[in-house]
Amino acid sequence: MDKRIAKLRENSLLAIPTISAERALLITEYFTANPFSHAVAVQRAEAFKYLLDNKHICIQENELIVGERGPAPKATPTYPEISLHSLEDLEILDQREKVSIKVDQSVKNAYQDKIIPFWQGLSQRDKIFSAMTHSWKQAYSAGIFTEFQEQRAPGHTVAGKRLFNTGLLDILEEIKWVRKTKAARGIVQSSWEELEAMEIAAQAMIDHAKRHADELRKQLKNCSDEPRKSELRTMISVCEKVPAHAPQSFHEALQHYWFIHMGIITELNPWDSFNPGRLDQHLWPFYQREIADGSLSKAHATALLQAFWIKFNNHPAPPKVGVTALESNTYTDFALINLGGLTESGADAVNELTYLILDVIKEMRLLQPSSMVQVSKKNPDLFIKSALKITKTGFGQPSFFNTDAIIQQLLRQGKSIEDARNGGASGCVETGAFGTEAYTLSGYFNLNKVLELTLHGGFDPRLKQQIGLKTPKLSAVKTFEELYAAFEQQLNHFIAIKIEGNNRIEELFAHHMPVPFMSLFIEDCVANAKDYNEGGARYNTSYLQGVGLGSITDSLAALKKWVFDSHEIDANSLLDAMQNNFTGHEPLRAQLVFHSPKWGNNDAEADQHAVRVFNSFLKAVDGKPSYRGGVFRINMLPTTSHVYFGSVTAAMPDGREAWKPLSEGISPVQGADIHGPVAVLQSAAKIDHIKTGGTLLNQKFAPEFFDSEEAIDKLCSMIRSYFRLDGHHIQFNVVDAQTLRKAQKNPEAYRDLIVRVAGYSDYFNDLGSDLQNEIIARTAHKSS
Amino acid sequence: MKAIIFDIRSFSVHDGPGIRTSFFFKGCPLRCSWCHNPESQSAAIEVICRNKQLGSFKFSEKVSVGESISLETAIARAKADKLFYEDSGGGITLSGGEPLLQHQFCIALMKAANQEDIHTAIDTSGFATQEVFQQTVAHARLVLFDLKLMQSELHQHHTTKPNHLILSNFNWLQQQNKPLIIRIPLVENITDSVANFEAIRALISTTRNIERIDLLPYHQSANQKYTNLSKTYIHQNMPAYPAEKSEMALQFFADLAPIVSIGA
Ligand code: SF4
Repeated sequence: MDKRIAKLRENSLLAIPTISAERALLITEYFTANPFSHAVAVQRAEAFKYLLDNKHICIQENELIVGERGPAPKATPTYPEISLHSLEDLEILDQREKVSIKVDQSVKNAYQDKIIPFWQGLSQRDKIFSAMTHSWKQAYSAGIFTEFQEQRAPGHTVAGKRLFNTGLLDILEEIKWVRKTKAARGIVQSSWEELEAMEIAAQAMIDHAKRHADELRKQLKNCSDEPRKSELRTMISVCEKVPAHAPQSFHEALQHYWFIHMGIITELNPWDSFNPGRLDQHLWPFYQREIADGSLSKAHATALLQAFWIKFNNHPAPPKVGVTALESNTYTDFALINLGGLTESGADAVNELTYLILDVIKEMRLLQPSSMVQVSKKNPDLFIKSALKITKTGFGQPSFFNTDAIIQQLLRQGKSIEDARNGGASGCVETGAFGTEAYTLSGYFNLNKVLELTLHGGFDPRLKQQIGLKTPKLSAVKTFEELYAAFEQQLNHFIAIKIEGNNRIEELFAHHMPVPFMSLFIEDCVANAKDYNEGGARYNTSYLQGVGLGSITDSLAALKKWVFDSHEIDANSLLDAMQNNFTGHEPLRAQLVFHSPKWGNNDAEADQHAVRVFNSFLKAVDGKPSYRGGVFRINMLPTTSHVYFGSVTAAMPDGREAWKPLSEGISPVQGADIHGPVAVLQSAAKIDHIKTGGTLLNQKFAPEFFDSEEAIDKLCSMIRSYFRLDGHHIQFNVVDAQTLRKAQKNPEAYRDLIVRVAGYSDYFNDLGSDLQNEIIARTAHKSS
Repeated sequence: MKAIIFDIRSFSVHDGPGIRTSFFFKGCPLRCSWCHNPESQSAAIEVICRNKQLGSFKFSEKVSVGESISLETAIARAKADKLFYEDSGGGITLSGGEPLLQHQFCIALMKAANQEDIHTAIDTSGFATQEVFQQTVAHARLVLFDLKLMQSELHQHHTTKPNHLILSNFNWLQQQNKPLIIRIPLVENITDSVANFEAIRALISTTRNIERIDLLPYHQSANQKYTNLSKTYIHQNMPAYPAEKSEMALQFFADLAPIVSIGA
């Protein structure tokens, strides 16, 4: 690594995350001077312009790619129009042990004097909670589901070809043309406004890039170092060109993307920030041309990519407000770089740049951006093995995705074959058609809580309230089928509540929080003269994420075996044991834990329940219409919500103790998979991955397992087999339990320890102790 | 047809090429003093007490070591991971104990596997009559053969049986055109004498078809197993085989096969 890059990397690693009040103050100033009008989109665009025109321009010494969202690296803005932090929230963020974000007195003062008085009661979060029904609120506080958009804007957006091929001036031309053609056909008022808003936003970003050029010119004046001077000159000309014009060089392409990335995460705080997607594909034409004509060296391409990587790491996730910390508590903002896969015409997409980027990932070893490899049957083994050798170094990246399955999923959802091949996975594991789709995640869904309520006839033992439908209790049902029917009734009931709530929320975003800037880049928002949040994109999907498949499978398997088939355990004594969290019922718990069929062992007796629950969940959600004109779909991933959902779910028939984490993704319950990784994969492949928009499977391996070329070959073939079975994703945590225990006892000595949590990597030290324990408990598959 | 088996392991990666399912047959005619698998020695199903823990709750449970399984069950298990064998070049391995003690079952299982185009391997001490050995091994596409002690008296002393049957079976095997993996246990002051190493070297240096040699250093993992079975383990306190010596053994055998590895 170049010395200067090493320094920038170190600065990024050492920078302390802070809250910056800059954005919140500017947005408050703007709306104080310009009272809310009916032309919401235009006003949002003007506010965006106000932000870009007035924010501090931060360019660090020796940077190659410029643009910071805040006034300094890791100075993180807030979005009071989305969710308003209270003074107490700020205190919690500042003081909390894990993932703290420092808040200095001036920020607190700004909040107290200006920001809170203005936004109190006006945030999107306030609007959402006042729009939700009583039953929604009840289910929400019982922990049956979470709501993604209560603190962040809809997003989950990934750049496609358009972003890399088009300049903002081209888009302004397109807007003019759309206006003309639409006018001829008659156009509604909101479309005029949207087009105007888009123009304002595009122009604002062109001007913003110029401000960077001006700042660089100032630095050039004061610079005496010749090599740096020439770099600065190049950077000035790059910033004068992009994003107004389409990029023509490797450097311009990266800077072009980064300006737009900055704009999108400044406009609002969309989930999973923003994401360059298929980076090796987008950059390949530039790279190939310049390497061939000698204008770019491999070393310089590497340095530019490394500088680009550091930019991501400088931008932690916007802080949440107080109480929901457990739900997803991390600095990571989930940009997931995709490598490999297929080209638009269906050929092997792995190229020389793919391998170069893998080297960058290995050398940078940063939490952000996260990275993954797309594996199609057409990609070579060398590609998989090169990626495995990075995974082996134990920071959880890259993870492995099945391109052929992703394409099938997208085709099933009605995408064109080209749009499907240009797709991939973002966030944790979520499938999307990059650059053409708005696929928002609506919330995690706690399958186990629904089973718990069913066992108690719709009553929540934690809140001591009747929350669900009145169905017969476990002690009143005679057959397993009757129990399952009651479960399905409750499931359908809560999913209907969730979906109704989400459609209301989508509507609130469409009306109050259009995103004209982001809409410029996602096809066909401009052509439709319709905002991204209004359903302007070519495809619109809303996802609901099922959580705890392993736990619920094991509970159902135990119930069937002991209560209904063998009658060895009586319903009332089981309920009693659960109520007492198995205290005084230890032998019963041992029986449930050690002698019941468990998911993840390729055991049909257990796995049938997983398939059944999956199908019930699918049936309840898949294809339901959404406000944005798309449909709801499912995926199976938890991020860290399996910890939160566990904390609201009492002891269950799988022998899990009260408030302990649930199983993660489609992985088995921690420690329940005793027949090795192939058995886990065989179980996991029994659900129909093609009907989801992503599933998450985490396998922890001892480092010894990656020791030899032979072992790498075997893992490579194992990935191939799982993907032949249509598995969507697999990731490896390479670390032994002993190391983790040491890290827990002596965190200082293990500050660099990165582990795969659930679809993303995080510093082990930053995880809560319950999540740490869970990772330790997950079976370390040793070779036998 | 039934067999007594003490474990079936999927994702077994140290018993031949690729990803394999290994069947561990119960019963062994030898009693090697260093044996890592004492539960494999007796041919009968044994019931032992195992201490378990769930949180702070400690209890002991009777578990049986060994299970009588039908040929159909075994074939179903062999077929279950077929896709994984295909992609990795793996298959099934019959191991033990000594699988040849239940050779009829082994033959039937390997026949069925071969019909399904599943690669078959057998891991044997070679202690069986020539007839049984030849009949059974004919169905395996790969043989893992243990060579412990070349001098018969020493073999008798440390494993309770002389080695001439083993050597004559090995001689026959050398004439066959079958891929071989040689496995040599490294036990300090027992198998690692210069004389023994030289004798093994002399024996296998003329053998064709050796794909690899696995050197298996002694380790202490079996102590608890002996205790559970209420058996005494005379090597209870023997330290793990020193890494430097494993390395020396590796050097010694390095030229005899394309792959020579420590610990498989
Ligand atoms: S041959 Fe193998 S199983 Fe039999 S006693 Fe010797 S080491 Fe144990």
